[in-house]
Amino acid sequence: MQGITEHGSIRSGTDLTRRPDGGMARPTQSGLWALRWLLRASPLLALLLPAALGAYQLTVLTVALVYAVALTSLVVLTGFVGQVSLCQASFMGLGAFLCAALMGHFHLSYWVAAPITVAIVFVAGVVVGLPALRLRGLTLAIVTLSLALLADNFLFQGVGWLTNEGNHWLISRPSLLGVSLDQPGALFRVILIALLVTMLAVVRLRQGRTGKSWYAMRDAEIAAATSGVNVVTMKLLGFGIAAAIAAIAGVLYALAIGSVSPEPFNFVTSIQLLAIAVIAGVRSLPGAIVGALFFIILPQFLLQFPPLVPLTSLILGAGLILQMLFAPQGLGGMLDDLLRRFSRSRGSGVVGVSDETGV
Amino acid sequence: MFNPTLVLELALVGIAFGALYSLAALGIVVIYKTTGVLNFAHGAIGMFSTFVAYEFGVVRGWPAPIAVLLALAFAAAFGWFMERFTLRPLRDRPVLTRVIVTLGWLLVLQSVASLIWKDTSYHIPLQIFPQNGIRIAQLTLGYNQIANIIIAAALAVLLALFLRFTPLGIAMRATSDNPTAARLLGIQVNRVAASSWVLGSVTAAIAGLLLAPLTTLNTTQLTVVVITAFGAALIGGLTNLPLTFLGGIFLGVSQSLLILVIPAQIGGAKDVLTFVVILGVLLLRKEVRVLAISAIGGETL
Amino acid sequence: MPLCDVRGVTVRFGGVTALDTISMELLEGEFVALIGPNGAGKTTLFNVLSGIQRPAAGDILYRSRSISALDPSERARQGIGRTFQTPQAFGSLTVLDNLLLPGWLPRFGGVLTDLIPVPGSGLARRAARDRARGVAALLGIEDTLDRYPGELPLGKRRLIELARALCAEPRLLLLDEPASGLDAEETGRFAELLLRVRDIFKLTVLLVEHDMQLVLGVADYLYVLNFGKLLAQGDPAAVVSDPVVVAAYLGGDDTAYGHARPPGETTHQIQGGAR
Repeated sequence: MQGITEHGSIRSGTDLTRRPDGGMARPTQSGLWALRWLLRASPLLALLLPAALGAYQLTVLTVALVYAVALTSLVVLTGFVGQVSLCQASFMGLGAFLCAALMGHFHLSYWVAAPITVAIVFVAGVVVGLPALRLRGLTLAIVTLSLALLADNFLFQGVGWLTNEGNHWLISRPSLLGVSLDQPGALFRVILIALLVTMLAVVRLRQGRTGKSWYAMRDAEIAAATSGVNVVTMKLLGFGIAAAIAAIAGVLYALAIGSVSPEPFNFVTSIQLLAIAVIAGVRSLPGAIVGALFFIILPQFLLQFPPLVPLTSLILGAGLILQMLFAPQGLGGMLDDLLRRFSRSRGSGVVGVSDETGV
Repeated sequence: MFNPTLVLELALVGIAFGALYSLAALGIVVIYKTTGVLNFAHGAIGMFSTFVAYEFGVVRGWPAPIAVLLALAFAAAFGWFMERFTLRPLRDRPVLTRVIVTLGWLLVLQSVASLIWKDTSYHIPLQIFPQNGIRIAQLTLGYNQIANIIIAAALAVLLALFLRFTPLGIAMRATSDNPTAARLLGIQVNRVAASSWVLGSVTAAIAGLLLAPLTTLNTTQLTVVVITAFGAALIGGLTNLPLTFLGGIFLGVSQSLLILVIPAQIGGAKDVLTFVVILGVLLLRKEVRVLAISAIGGETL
Repeated sequence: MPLCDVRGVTVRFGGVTALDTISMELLEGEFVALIGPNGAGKTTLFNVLSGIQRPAAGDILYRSRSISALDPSERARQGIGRTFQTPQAFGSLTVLDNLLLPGWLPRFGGVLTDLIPVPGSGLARRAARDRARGVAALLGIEDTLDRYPGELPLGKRRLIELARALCAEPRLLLLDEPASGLDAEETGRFAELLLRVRDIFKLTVLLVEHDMQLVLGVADYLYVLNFGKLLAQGDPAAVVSDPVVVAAYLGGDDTAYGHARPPGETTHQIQGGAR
């Protein structure tokens, strides 16, 4: 049984929500009402923002929404299932490349290629989850980082079928209900809807048996098993679903940017995504949105003086270290508190428990 | 088709690389054994130190030995700083928390290096040894390769002697065997932890300094050496120094020989190999370790 | 026909034999206790029964079928529930969710029914919740349902764990030192509670316990384990007064464990254990 580590093996410590005193962080209803709030506001956002913003700003915002989806995959895997992944950007890249390759090689429509891609990457995620049944914590971090390098240098460089023989793929954006997605406003709306649907699905999973099984398994794996939770199935499912969500981010990325090249999906991005997720709160969906906005918008400002672009990564790295040292409850927790207070003052009456991220 | 000279030459190149992977891996093992932390920033420390040497030795034209000393001094100071201020305060927290701190340092080091030296690749940044070599029969042995192998082997032996015979080394071994008992016996665990971080970071720097002339110097290349080094360390079960050394050599040689099997234009074959080795060792680790340790007569740090 | 039939189970850890060809029968509806000094292999036997530990030899028949190949979750679904010596609550779920989960788990994951509400899925949840509330009321922990286990004292957490095991609708319940930390009076009340629970849920119970007052108060049959071997079995009152058992375990001083009766002898069957 994996819970019982043999002598001398690598100590487990996957739980990013365990507090320094050994107690459990208070769990969460959080993202839920914040999401409801976002949901209520979203028609307004979808109407107003395309009108208010220029094409460039709108595109930046669209890409940020895509990364919010990518971060949602880490919320599932790290926050709910309690597994570390340093290759989530690789799954996103696999999604983008696979979708482009399916469209390019088989002349599939985007609307056909995208779901097929997500299904395939789901399977890939389950396969990656297989070793995780025997590995945990530190070793899983090594394996996933090694996998990220494999993806960087082999899948996205060496495999000609996937990479259009090393040339970038260009995606011709499809139209939806007669509206061409070449229009930034339409594109923004579609991706906003995709983000909301993904997050709502994740919230439903968390409230349902799947999420509760994941939490139970992460808190006390053996007790979960003897209570009837099929640990193997649920863990693999977690990896598969997280990979599938990352793939959704990937196919949305292809749609948003209109081309696919390897750079955005390298191992550094994977580490950065984990950093954002941890800083923002590994279980916090609003944190995922805010983190993605930061991650995409800041570099756009820095681009005015290009040598400063690496600052984003510096801030993330330093933020990660400082957070571990000084703010174990996580920014996500603070953010949730803030949003909750706001939503209470509006009299919505939704009461949530703060999402602490005591790493 | 099959050319024995070529195979031998490739194997030698592989040993030269592998010895450096081994060196980096030894640092990882020493740190892991005494503090329980796997240092994901190990390669990044090597990368940054190498850039320090490059900055002084090439850009500013200072004498190479001084540049190298500065790089090593940087690595030592950085390792000490990292342990003292960002890991020691977290000593009682889950291992993963501390490992995430090292990931944070990876991002910091890499981005600061990008800010200073840009995302450019520098070829032959700092030439420590002559480019040419000696010929024995049909084999060409570069001075670089010979030097790498000798330095790495010598340092590994020195490390073993240090751990075996010096008071600090003995304290480190005692701490890795049983931290609680070591503390009760009056060993200053803090000093031991700091020492292993200094020692480990210096091995990373040396490995980086010697690897850079063989490949190129940029902010990524040396940073990801950490994965190959992890592979070597895992072959040694994260504890066994001789086995770790052999693991590094094995990875170096097999990566080098890959070119015989897989066309060069298919990129990333090395990474596939490293991944397969890491996964294989981890999944079969009990079996592999027992086998290997019984083969070489187990020594654990 | 016993509900659970343990046949020659052997477990080794490296060179140590933790369980040495253990055989025991648990009859339907029976309250069986298992005692023995620390390290005797009691928890190991529990781990074998619940599927966490694979035995090196031997078989377990449950309702006349071998369950050796089944994983812990499948055994749980078939009605083998257990508690742990150190309570293993799900810290990030409320107590209600802790209790809700075992009775609410679908056979296959449940991802789709979580995502898309199908008719009837609400019913299953409500049924599980009603059951959880009922069990909580029976054990007197209904006031904790909205709290988190980490906020509660150890005694409550033991009860929560017992409640969680009951919510999975077990037929065979394995209790690992559920009364440790209770004083004499509490133990007495706990014994009554256990008997009531057994009757209400029509359980077969296997209890590991150090507290002899509790064991004698509830057990119909008693097994004594020592150094991985069955030392004695039979009627509880008779077993505990048997000189061999007394020497090896109960009355003897601590150093006498191994010497009074060296491991390797056959089980001492004590008369009077009418089954």
